[in-house]
Amino acid sequence: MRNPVQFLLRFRYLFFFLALQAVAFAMLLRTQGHQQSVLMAATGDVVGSIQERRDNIRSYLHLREINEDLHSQIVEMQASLPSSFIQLTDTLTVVEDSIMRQKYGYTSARVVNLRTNTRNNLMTLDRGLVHGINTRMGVVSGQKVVGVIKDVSDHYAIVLPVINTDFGLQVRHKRSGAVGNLKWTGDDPRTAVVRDIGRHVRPEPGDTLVTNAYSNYFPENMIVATVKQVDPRSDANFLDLTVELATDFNRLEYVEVVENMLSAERRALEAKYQTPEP
Amino acid sequence: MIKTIGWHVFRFVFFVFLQALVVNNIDVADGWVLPFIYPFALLMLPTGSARWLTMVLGFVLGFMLDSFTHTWGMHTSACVLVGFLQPLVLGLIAPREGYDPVMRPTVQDMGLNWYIAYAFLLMLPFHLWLGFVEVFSLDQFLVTLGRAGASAVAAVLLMVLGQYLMFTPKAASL
Repeated sequence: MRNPVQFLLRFRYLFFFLALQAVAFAMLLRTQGHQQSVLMAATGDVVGSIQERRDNIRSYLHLREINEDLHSQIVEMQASLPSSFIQLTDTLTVVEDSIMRQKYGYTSARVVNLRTNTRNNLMTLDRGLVHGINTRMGVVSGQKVVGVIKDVSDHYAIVLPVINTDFGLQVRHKRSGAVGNLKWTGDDPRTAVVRDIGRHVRPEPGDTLVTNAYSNYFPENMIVATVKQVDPRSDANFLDLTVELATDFNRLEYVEVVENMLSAERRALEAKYQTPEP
Repeated sequence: MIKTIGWHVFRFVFFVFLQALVVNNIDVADGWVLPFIYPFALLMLPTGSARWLTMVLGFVLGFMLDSFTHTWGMHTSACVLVGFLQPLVLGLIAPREGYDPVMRPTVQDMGLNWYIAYAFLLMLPFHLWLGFVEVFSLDQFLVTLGRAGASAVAAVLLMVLGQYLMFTPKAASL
């Protein structure tokens, strides 16, 4: 202790340690306001861009959950749309809630298997009998037609999609109201043909084709396809159209199964007169 | 020599990234276990390093992590402590014949028991220091103590496991 220099030398590491700690604690205690913004300016750009990239990755990884959330919301909202209800009475007498009755119910489902490259493509959904799915139900995605339920087990359902050569559907040319029959061509999963549209209709490329009220499976005005071109080989009275299907099957992941709650009643009545199934 | 320094620089950057982007997201037992493994870069410094150097490098490493977590000074302070203690701990657990300069402070070169003692004697003070600097009071003393202890054990465990993954016996230099 007699020699201060010797004292300093003896404990030089301890002093160095304390000096560095003093700097660190100065940072810790005084980095509010100005000091922090100086430090942030020096390191912030690099660190910020790295963290932003990390967040991008993280939100990408959570896309599936977000999708599921959004999809269940869509289903809920669709079931409450006016088009899901039919009017029970023409008079405007309000008696409790009996003016509107729900006609269409929706169930969300995920596509667990789908081939688009054969002629008789089938699709599997992860919903079945226990979820209330049954045959004679339609399958849509958003407002776009996907197919109909062909078979169903306890937890899965097989869909006959539009892109199966066994599938046929009567469609309505939205602008004119004329009807025709839609059939898939068997090769390109985006293209189909519509036959037997009356020649007076003059369809143009871009026109929309929708479901009509004859359908037992789908609500009216679900989008089926848009006109791509009028087939020149059409005969004298009827036109054939090449159309682009509204649903992109290669990207399909979530669908809604539509239940027509009145279809049994309608079928029972129609069966009495042997009306062919639409 | 240049190659060795390059590896040390790489290790500093790599472990800061690993800590800030991956390990900090670990959430075990309601936040009781949050291991800090990035001081591994300091633990890998050669056994004969000058004491002032280990402290300065500790300062640098801690500051790098603080930039990520915006905890200016907290990790800097704790890493300076590790830099200060490392030569002391090395002296405390030195083998009888001293350190061979070619031996690196790893499980492969020094053995598992030695390494666990080495890592734990450095990681426990580190986590304790960090824990008490973070809350900056002696309230809930036992809680802070418990969290630091659990995290230190987890950190040592990760460091040891990591070495079995990274090093092939008696070779490689990461």
